[in-house]
Amino acid sequence: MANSMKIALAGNPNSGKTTLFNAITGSEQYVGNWPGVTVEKKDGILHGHKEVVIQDLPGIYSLSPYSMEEKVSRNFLVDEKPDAILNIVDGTNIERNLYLSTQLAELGIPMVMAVNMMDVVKKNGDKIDFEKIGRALRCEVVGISALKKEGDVEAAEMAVRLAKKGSVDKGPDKTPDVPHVFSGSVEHAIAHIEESIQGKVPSRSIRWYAIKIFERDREVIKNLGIGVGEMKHIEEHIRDCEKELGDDAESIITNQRYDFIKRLMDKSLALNEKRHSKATLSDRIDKFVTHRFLAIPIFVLSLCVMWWLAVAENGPGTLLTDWANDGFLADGWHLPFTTHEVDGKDYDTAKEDFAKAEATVAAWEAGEKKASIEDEETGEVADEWDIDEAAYKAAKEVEEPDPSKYGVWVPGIGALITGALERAGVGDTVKSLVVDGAWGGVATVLGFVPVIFIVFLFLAFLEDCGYMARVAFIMDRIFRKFGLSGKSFIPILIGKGCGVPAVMATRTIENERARRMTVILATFVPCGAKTVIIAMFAALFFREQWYVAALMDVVGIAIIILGGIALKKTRPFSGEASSFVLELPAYHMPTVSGVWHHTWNRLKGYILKAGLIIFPACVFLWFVMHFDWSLNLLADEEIEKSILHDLGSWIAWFFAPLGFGSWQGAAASVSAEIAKEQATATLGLVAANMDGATTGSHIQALFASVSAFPKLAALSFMLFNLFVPPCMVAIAVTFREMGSKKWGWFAVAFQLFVGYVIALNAYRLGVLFAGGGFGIWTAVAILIDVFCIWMIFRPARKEATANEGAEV
Amino acid sequence: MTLDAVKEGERARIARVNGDEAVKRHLGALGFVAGTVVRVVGTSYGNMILAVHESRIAVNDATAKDIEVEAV
Amino acid sequence: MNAASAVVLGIVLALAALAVWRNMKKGAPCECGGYRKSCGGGCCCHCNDEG
Repeated sequence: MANSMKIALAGNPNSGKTTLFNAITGSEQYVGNWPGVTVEKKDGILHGHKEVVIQDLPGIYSLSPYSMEEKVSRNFLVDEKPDAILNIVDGTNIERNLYLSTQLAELGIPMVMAVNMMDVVKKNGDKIDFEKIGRALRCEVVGISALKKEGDVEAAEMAVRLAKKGSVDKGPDKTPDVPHVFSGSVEHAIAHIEESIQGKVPSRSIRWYAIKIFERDREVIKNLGIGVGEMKHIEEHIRDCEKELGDDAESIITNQRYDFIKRLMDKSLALNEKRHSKATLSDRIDKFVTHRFLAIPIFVLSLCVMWWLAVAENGPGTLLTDWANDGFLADGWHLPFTTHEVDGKDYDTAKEDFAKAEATVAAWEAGEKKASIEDEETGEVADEWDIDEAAYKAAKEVEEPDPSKYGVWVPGIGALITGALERAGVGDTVKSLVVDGAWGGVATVLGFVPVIFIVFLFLAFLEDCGYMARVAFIMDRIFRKFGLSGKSFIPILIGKGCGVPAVMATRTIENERARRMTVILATFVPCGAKTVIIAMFAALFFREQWYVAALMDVVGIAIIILGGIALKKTRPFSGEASSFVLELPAYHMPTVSGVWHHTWNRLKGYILKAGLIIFPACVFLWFVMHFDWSLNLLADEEIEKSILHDLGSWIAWFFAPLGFGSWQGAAASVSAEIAKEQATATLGLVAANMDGATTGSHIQALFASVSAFPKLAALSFMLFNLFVPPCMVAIAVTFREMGSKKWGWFAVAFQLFVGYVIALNAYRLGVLFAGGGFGIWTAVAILIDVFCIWMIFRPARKEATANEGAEV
Repeated sequence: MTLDAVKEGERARIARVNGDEAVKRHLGALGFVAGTVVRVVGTSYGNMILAVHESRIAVNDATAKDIEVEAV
Repeated sequence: MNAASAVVLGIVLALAALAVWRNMKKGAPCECGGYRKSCGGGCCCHCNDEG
């Protein structure tokens, strides 16, 4: 696109850059990675200007070459030669934001500074003189409020106008007009450096380069190929300055920038003293949220609220999930507010009466004197009654209630598919493949989307409002106990969504040991896919005990903490942790669109995954369940002859101590490595032969058939799949991030051990307390527990400190 | 004295930032330069939340120990 | 197997194959809506700090 114009969008993290970017580019965005690195690359087309590309640079505080984000931004600004810069500045935190602005201005690229959050500035009663700032930094300055959509598009369009004018108008001799921020001797040194690099760099950015060289920026010096002799000459100038000002070059530059900014602010920023001398609302909230005793309980409470909403019996999550599983995706449902009674009965009662009538007929025809009805969920007898010939005759007359007579009935997708196939005359086998295999599996996963939706929505809300930064700060203290810092919390937080970016996010941890430990531990917090497993088991086995779901998060964090403590005491992981510096953005009410955006993106991923991964996996599973090794088609009852049955049985012994040592449990657990939520789909498929009317009741019956303590076996199955190594893709990323096969395998082994031991304990000790007796595996579980407790509580290694300095 | 000795609610002026290069640079970009006055907003088991200009920066105790300050 | 069954079977297998082929080409879908291969093998969600 030869005519396209590039505008770089640069600013501090938390300056509202993303909101601005979304506002000016609409939905035509491309998200990917900068080549070779994991930093996100985002660009989009400016509204109404098809030829203008807005390149969103990562949030950065400075243009030094030391972090991935900064490197990527620098390289773009210097090598790709954007036509203009749109610098977004947080108006409520303007001094710190200007630190970057001065550097951007030195590049000599036409620049518009958009001072954001002007609505808050006005409310505070502060005043900012845009003109003075613009003159000092040689750029255009405008006020905007990205949140309120005021001035955002205009700022972008101003950048376009500036870009069109080019740098022709700025300064005589075509030397760009850039701000001179530094003092006498430093300016002197910079002038000398500019002379020596004359011609080697684009003339508009010569000052930026000179300053970088003064700071001894290794990248710039290398890229410009400055000779040793030349460098020595330049060094003399730099050293003169350092001696004169009594500090190193970089610090001199940093200090003088802030001096300049302070002088500028004295002239152009008028703060409303009354407003600023009181503690801000954010500070007051933080008093509680980071309080030494209240912090953790508040955090746990927020997790509980999230899980209650998601899986509690009477909560919104369960309501929606039940509707999805039983209605929308399966048989069908009534539109709300359209239901009414027929003959004095509502639909559910009519269905119950019909079921009773059916039971009566079946019992009488089998020669019984009593008929009974079982509870769909527990399988226990719910009702029993005597029958005689009169009852039988009456029961035969009862017709199956037609749901459409009781209200507006929307057939479920499952019913529609089944209906269509039947009308087309499709044979039973293929019908089974489509309805039970493909659709059944996908529907199992999709049915729990409401739960994932609520979890992601909640997390997005907490992140966007600024709370998560506080959690990282709170966790830091605990993480220190085992050599990690709060910085390791960010990958763990990301892990709540997906383990793959979580493991990749460990790149920001410089300390190699801490990084490795974080890679191993980050996936213990249940990810979105694992949340589907939690959702299913909460619905089928722990309806009254919704806190079991919240417990999974707590167990995950506990593993991270205890596992970390144990690892730190081993040789490869001992050593002190590095520093912790984190900005805590002011709390703000997240925007509906922002939260929705975050949530929808993740949700979309799940639904796509259902179509692209779960669907083919279920088709494959259906085949290996319905064919034997000689490729004969099997009837439903012959499933024990199938390929899958044999494969599962070969490894079932591994799961026996955990309470679900059957071929079904084995198949489901192994299939979870493709995608964790596949475990739920596989269970749905392999349990199809069991008693019951719904997939859910099949699975309940399955667990009842493998253990005398089905709830414990279910708990154990859930724990196992939650805490063993993550799905294949995440394992692959683990190996890549570790960089060595040895560490990759260690991670996998550690995770397998942890998952297995937890499940083993839950089952064996659970059985013990339920009166099931003490067996050999109970003893094994206790022995392993003793070993683990020792690993956690033994005295720490006394490490020689000589080799520590080099690490950090 | 160093920053970790400053109590909650009090202010201090930064005199010098020591410690690891990378950390110094990061702190510098955030505004921890000689002459800046910071205020301690809160502490939690040694970790501190500091008001630097209008922003809030959290640091751990080890980092705070590397920042030399003067009373204000 | 009758004609209708064969057709439906064919469709299901074709869709499954298509899904697998697409995974190989574009990489598995990310939980944030992008695709793994376009993000250098991993997911690009949250790869940099909040902006």
